[in-house]
Amino acid sequence: MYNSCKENEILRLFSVNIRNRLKYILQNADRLQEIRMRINKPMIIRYDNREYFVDERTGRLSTKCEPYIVKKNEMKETMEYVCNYSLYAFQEELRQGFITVQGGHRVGIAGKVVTEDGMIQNIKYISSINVRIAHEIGGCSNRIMRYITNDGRMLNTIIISPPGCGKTTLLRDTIRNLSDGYDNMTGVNVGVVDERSELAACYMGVAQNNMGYRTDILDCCPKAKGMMMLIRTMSPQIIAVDEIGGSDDENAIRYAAICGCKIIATAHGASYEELITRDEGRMYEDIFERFIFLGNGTNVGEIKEITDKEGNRLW
Amino acid sequence: MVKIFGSLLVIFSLGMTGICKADKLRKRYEELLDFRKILVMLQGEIRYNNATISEAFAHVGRHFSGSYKKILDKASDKTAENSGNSLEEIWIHIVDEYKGDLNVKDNEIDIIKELGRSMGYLDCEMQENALNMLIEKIQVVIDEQGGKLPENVKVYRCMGIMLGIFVVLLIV
Repeated sequence: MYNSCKENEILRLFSVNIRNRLKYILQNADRLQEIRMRINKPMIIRYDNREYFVDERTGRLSTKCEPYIVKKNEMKETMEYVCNYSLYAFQEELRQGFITVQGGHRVGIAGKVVTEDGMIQNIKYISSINVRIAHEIGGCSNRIMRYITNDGRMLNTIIISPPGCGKTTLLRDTIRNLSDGYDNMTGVNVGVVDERSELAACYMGVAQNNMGYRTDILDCCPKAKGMMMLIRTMSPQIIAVDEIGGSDDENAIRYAAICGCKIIATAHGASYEELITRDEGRMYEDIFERFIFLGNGTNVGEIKEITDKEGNRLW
Repeated sequence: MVKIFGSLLVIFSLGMTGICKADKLRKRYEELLDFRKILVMLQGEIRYNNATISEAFAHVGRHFSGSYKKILDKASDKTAENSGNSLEEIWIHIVDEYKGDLNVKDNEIDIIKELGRSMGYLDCEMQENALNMLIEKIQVVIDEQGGKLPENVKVYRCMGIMLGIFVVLLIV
């Protein structure tokens, strides 16, 4: 039932021709990671951490076959369905280069960028689409919960890794645990500023991912402004943000910490040393009490180490 | 006695035909006004709500009853389905399905069908302009009909009764 629902969510994004070819592959939608389309180029599927072509004749995945080539009209038709026939309603998302669709799946877009006064106005002549299939890994944060809490109270925590190593997935599940309550920690109000709709994957205002019972989400809101808004309006005990960096974020996080909110965030980076050399480096030293480093090996989500403020290794 | 009864029946039936014709004319005018209202409301949905086509049709449909409600609700469902047809195809198909329930003329149905061609593929500003153009187009028809409406309604009503009397005089 779940799979068939997910299968439909994904299938209805594509042109009718492509739908017919993807039907077979989507029988195992849980193992599907990415579908890439480029005009006049083969459609490429990332499945079980490997790349495949779609066989032109059989519709099956293969690395050696006559690949299915994406046509221009199929790209146009696909964009119509991705936007629900309403390109105008997704202007803001198009400017950022992606659209979040029902089910939390992320459609990345590339084409000709229209700029005005250095600002991106739109993307036209869309030539590439990358559909990233949303996967929630429920319970993946259970192993870190005892390291980021003390006597049932949350400690300011930052998750650090290079891109694509599972930071957001881990943060999402941590938010759920903090919101619902875990072990001896009772659930608390969590405010999430989801600037790129990656955490909650809101579709028409409704979170497509399980974010917990006590989570309030500001979708598509700039992080710094969103944190201030949440503090003033929703009085959260914990504020969660993805991919922090820059002076605006630093000021907002310092303000939130002064207001008594606990912070859980993620940042791109490889090591503590590299993190503190940045402009906002002092913030990491002053505010955060737990540092979770994820590995960048083949195992996405693998925890490399967890340290405390003094650099003592806890994991 | 039979003659009197027959005459009255002829006058009544032809009079009623005139009244029905006049009523149809009034309904046609109201349907044109309703369509303009739909366009204005769709503009509002796009401008202030940033609603998708499917949402906008559903929201606007709630404010109507009868054929327009059916058309808008069905269009909302079909566009949400991504059934494999273009928006234009979907809209035209639905309008064709329900045009028998409407009182508007064929050239006015063509304007209604144009909505499917005017929506969906533009940015917000262009989308509003496209709807504005359609509003102007329907306004011309409304003005034309509105000016003649009271006169035509009177004519149809009187003509019905007069024709009834005329037929009676001929027969008797």
